[in-house]
Amino acid sequence: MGHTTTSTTVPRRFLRRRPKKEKVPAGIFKTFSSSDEENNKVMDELLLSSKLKRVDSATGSVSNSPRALQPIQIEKVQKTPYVVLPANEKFSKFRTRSRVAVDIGGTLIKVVYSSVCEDEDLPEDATTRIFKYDDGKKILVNFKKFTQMDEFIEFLQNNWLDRTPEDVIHCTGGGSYKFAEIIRKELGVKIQRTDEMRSLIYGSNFLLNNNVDESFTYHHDAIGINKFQYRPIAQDLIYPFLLVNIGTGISILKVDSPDSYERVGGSSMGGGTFMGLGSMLTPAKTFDELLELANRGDHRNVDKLVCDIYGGAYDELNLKADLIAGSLAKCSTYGGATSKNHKAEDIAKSLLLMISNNIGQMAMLYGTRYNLRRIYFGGYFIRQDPITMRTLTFAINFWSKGQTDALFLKHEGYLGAMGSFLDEDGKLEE
Amino acid sequence: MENFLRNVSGITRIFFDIGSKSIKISYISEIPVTRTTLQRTIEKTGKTFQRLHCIQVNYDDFPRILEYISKNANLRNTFAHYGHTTRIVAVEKMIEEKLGCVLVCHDVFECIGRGTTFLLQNIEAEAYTYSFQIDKEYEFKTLNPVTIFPYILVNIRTGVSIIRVDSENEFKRIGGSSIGGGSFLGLSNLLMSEEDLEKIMAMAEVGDPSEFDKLISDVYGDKANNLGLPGHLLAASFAKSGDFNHKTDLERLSTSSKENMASSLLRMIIYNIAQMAYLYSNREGIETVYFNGFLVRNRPIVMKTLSYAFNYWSGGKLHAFFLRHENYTSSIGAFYSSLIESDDLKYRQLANYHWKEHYNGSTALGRFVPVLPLTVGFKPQTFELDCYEYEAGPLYILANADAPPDTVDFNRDDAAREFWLNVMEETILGIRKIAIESQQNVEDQKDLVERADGFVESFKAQLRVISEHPFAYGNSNARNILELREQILRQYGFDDIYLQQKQKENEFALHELPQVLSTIDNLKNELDKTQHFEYVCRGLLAGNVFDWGAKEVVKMMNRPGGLSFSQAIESVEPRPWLFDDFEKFNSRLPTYRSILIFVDNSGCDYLLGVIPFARELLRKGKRVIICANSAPALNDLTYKEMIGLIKPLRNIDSDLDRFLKSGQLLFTQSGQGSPCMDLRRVHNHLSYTLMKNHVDLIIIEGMGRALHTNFHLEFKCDALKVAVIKTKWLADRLNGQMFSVVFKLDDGTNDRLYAGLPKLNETCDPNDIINEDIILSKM
Repeated sequence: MGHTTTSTTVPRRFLRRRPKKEKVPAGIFKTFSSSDEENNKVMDELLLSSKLKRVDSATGSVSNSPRALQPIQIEKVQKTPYVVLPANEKFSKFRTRSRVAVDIGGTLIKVVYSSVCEDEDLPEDATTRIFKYDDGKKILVNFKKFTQMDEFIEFLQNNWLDRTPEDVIHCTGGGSYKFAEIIRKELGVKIQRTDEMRSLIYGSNFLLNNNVDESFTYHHDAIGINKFQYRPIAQDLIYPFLLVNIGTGISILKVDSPDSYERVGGSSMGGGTFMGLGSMLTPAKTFDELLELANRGDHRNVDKLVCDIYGGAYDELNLKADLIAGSLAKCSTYGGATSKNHKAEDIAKSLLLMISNNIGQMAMLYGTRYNLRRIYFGGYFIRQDPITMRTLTFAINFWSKGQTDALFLKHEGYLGAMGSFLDEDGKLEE
Repeated sequence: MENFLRNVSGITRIFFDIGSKSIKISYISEIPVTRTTLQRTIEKTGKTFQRLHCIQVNYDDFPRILEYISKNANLRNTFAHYGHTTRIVAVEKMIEEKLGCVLVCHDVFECIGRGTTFLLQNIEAEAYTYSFQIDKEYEFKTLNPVTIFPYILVNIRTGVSIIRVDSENEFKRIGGSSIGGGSFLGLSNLLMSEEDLEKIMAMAEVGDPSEFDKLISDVYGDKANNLGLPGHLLAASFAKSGDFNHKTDLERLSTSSKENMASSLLRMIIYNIAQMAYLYSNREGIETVYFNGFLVRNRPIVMKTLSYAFNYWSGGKLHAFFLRHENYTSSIGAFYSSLIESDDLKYRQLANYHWKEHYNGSTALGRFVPVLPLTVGFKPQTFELDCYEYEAGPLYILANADAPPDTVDFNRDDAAREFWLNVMEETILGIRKIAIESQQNVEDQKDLVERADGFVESFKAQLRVISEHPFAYGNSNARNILELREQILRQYGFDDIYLQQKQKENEFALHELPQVLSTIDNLKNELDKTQHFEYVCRGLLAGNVFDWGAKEVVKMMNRPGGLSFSQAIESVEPRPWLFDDFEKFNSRLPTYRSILIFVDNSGCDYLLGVIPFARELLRKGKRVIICANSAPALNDLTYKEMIGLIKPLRNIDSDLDRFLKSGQLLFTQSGQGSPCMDLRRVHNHLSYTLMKNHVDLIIIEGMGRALHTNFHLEFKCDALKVAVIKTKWLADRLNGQMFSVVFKLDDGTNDRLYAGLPKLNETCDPNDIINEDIILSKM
């Protein structure tokens, strides 16, 4: 990939257009539905439901949602993730002018944009905060992701209709350097670049502060919606925490305050590795297909378990029999493989477990190192996928001996884009 | 088969580590000890010594090996110990049936922990770091008997286990990972259809990971430089293969793509292990981290990658350590476990004894230069350890018990290494001649010549090995090379080639001694006190000129009429000497009360140099303890010979008789058998003697002990290093000349040396050391 920002060469990927087009009403953005999320029931349920049990993240006290008795009318509800911005001076400008922020990572393009809306339900803490402006309108921020640069450009060309050459697009993420020229040229707007880490922190901070039900824990053995528990946290208790952002690779951040944070570690084994190995070893073409495969697989056919090595649990070391001793270790004759015909599902499952276990363990070790009990997982790798969340939760519980829970974020993939959206101090690029 | 399965008939115990590709066997053999006699023959001593043999064999060859062992050794009803990683019932059964022994199973982590500890405690330069910048390559951490614990062991097998070791008996698995050797092989089989580790490693070596890995530069474009992040840094493993076409693309992979894939795979797994290891070491607060397991096994590409990543994650602070004999850790651990858990006191005692690498029995090189992989053919590796039956530890007065004694490191000093290897090469035929002469009256003359030729061949081969791979046995230095020569001589039955020569010289020196002593006594009237003491010191130096280990001196001694003591005194350079601390020594002398002297050569050196010097010190009221080597090396005085000379000394001089009777003059042994001296591993009895007598000055005499080794070492008490330079090379190195004098008094680092020590005198009679030792020597 020898692309340089000074040249105007368009990457191959950019030219590969898809026939399917998404049409959205003209004017200021309207919220819209996306086919991508249709399969992801769990995510929708989570993002849109407030019926979950709440466990205060700092105190551990349990409270039930006041609205638990009023079932949500699913059919009325928006399918696209969004949050309602509080009505205040700072955000009122979005009533007349859209703002768009984009986080271009190693694999995905995440967009956060504002829209005006009249007929939405208010967030449940509407009693304590104002969300409606005088004219009855509200400002939403919407979250959308793309895998192809051309789709992203096309979407904005078709939907961001009030843009002028004086407008800016907030950009963050590694790819915002690489694709700056294209964005500028195709959209005819200026680039305002915000710092990647700062955006991530701003985004997490805003969401944890403003969206009461932003963070949750996952409990695999519970049934239905009880698998999830909201973990609200009082605003003054948010810091410090560890933020594990799982994108293509992994960044681990220690956050002491909105302005004081440090990248303490990372790993090259992240979502990109999962997808990369997955697309070589299984027929899956997309991340979701790969996850889907993994959900059907049984890793025990390809992984060496403790019982495969020791013939049972290794009690002296307190190693349970079904713990994975060697990921994919059964796939070589050395590990006892008799043929190469391993099922793609099993491999996908093994890969997912391998990577999420590793992330969980790594996160726990960094958490211990900096004495941080709360570990939030962000980044698009998770996708509220049950196996991923289960594995991360398991790993955190296992390595912390039950002391720590893995905390997930509803808008995990959009932390950077959200932060970039909010960050007014970006660097303008002509 | 006997070439690598050595001394099978003497096997008393056997230990296994059963892997799934290779099996490691360790066994203890009792090897009979023979002795050269003064009549130039050999006699059996009836004694044996213990040698631990370790071999690694291919799985398929295992039945043949067992067959051979069962034919040649009797192990019926003995216990065979093994560390169980994977219990392979068929193999267990085979062992029990073929050998008729009872298998005792040990916990695998116990074996790994104990085996590693045993190696670290006993083997010189067992641990090393491998440079990820090409120029330095191997860097050996030498023996550190004191600060071994705690350490972390990262054992990379199918999975990764991270073990914390706090002592021989305390080990705890503190963590691990499922991403290890199993995943490496599994993924490389799935991706590249390649399962041969050596081939994969060779592919990874030439591969370029940037085809499949996303690097920082791939994410940021050229702007990465502006962020201060190096563009080549790995961002995400395999992230570029996200739109790969399953199956068809994999099948169509070009050779170079496969190589690139191997490289990406290796980096992914090794980086992850290194990071995990660092995080655990950080959590535990332990900086010493050893990596072992089948994935590492001294493969340069793995070690390089691991070293780089471990150093990177530690912010450049820490270095990954590897072990030279890590493939034998488990079977040695089973051996060590059997020792410390044994009811047999005599056997258990072996755990406390000092074990040394038997260089000539070990294919040390196999792991440092490319060898055929095990799967290709019958290519066993061997490793042998000899038991030195004394309890060893660092000398109490060493300022830093871990400091290596060697003055010149041949791994870093090519010129020095070349010089030494040349000198050694030149002496081989001379040594052969002396060796044959030392046993010329044996019956089997053919065998004698064969053994002598065996020595020549082996030693030449080893010298070649060191010349090509200086790091073959870890550190190479004068001490190791000289020790290697002694080991090989002993291996071919030449236990003491200078025996008769030493005897002859001792007799000659005893004859001269009265004359030398009376000269000293007579001069007392002519010279003032200082001048007189200087003369005595000069005598000590003159004695040191006599040395069969120095080529130039050998020429002088071989002249008709030989070298006389008075000639020797004349050849010592006039003052000021090259290193001249005589005044300092003379002025401090009254403050010393108890002096330990390490002696060098037998004959004139000891009898005409050291004894008159010691006699003056004794007359000044000092307690003097003389320490000699335990085992023969060149013409160095051995403890046994020193004890044998006590009686004649008593007859010759009434003062000496008095000092010996009163216990003011004592003798002890170092446990060593080399012209050089490694004070990190001395007979514990020596430290005991030292503490008991509150030694406040040590005198180290001779080139080997005071110059080639220990020259820069610091001691807690004052140390006088005395030698006459007898090689041109060393003279040049020290900016001196032939027969220049080193008379260097180093200040001790600790005044309150014996404060807080238990009072040893209360439990022991002051005379018991000498009595006890004389008894020992008569045995």
